[in-house]
Amino acid sequence: MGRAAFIAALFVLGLAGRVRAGVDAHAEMAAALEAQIDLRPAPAVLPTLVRTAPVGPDTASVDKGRGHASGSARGASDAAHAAHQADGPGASAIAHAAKEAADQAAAHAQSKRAKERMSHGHQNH
Amino acid sequence: MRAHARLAIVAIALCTSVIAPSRAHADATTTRHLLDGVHAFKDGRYEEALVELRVVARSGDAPPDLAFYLGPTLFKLGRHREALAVFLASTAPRDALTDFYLGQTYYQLKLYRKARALFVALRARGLGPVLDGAAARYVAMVDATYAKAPGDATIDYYVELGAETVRAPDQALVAAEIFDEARLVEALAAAPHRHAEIGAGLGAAWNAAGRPRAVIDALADDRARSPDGSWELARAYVATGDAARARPLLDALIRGGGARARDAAALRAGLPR
Repeated sequence: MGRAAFIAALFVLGLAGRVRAGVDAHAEMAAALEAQIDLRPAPAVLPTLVRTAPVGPDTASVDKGRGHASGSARGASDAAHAAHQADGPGASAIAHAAKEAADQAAAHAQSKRAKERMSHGHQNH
Repeated sequence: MRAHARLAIVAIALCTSVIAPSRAHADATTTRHLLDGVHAFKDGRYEEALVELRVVARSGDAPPDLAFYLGPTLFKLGRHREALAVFLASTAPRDALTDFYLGQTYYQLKLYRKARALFVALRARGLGPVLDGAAARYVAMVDATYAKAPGDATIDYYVELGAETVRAPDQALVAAEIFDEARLVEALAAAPHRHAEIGAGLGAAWNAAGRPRAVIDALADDRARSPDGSWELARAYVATGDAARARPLLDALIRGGGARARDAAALRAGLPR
C-alpha cells in the first residue's frame, strides 16, 4: 500500500516537472522572440509584373526586386486543377524564388542531416 | 470499499511502473530537444534550432503550439514561405508574439496588406510600448507605399504568383494568402483589374486547402464572379453538404457550355435528389 502510494507520488511529481519544463521553454522562447524582433522594418517596395517583349502571347516577366523570371499566365482556377501536371514552356513566375529556396535548402541540408544524426544518436543514449 | 481502494492503487502502480516510464522517457527527450532548440534560437544559432525543432515536430508528443517555436526560426533563416506555411497550418490559439512574427513574415513576402491588417489588429489588442512602436512603424511603411493607388502591374504580380503557388504541392494555404493579398490590393486600385480571376483563384486555393467555408465567405456575394468562381463556389457548397445552393450554380455552368460544363455535369449528377 505504502509502496504504491510512493510510486503514484513520483508519477505526479514527474508530470509536474514535465509541465514546468514546457512552461520554461515557452517563457524562454517568448523572451528570445521579443528580444529579436525586427523593430525597424526596411521600406516596403511594391512588386510589379512587367510584360516583356513578344516572345509569346502570354509571356510575362515578374520583377521581384531581386531578379526576373518569366512565366506563362494561366487562369488561377485552372492552375489549381492542373496542380500535378507538368508546367508549360518557360520558367514559372516563382521559379526564381523557388530556385533560391532550393539552393538555400540544399546548402542547409548537409549540416542539418549531420546534426540530426547527432541528435538521434544523443537521443539513443 | 477497501478492496476497491486497494485495486485502484494497484492499477495506478501498474500504470506508473509499465506505461508511464516509457512515456516519460519520450516526453523528457522531446522536452530536451525543445529546450535545446530554444537555447540555440536564443544564441542566434538558427540552423541548430531548426534541427532540434524538426526532431520535436517528428515526435509523437510535439507541443500544440510548435509554430510558436518553428515559425520564427524559419523566419530568421530567411525561409519565409515555409514560415508562413507553419504559421497558417497551426491550430494552436494565437498569441501576440507568434502573430508579430507572422506579420513580419507577410512583410518579407511582400504581402503588405496582410501584414498591415495584422499589425493594426495587434495594436488594437494591446502591445507593450516597444512592440507597439514597431508595429506602428510597419503600418506606416505600408501606408507610405500605398500612398498612391496600386497599378495593374502590382495586381498582376500577385495573381501570377498565386496561380503558380496553387500548383505547388502543399502550398494551397500560402496561395490563398497571396490571392487574398491580390484581392486587398485590387480593392485599392483606381479601377477594377482581374477581379473575377482573383476571386476564382482565391476560391480554388481555399478549396484545395480544404476550407470550403472560406470560399463561400469570399465568393457567395460577389456579383462579378466568373464561371470559374461559380465553379469553385459550387464545389464549396457541395463540400459543406449544401446541395440546394450548389445545384443552381452547376445548372448555370452546364447551360453556359463553357470549359466547366462537363465538370459541372459530373458534380451535378452526384448530388442527392
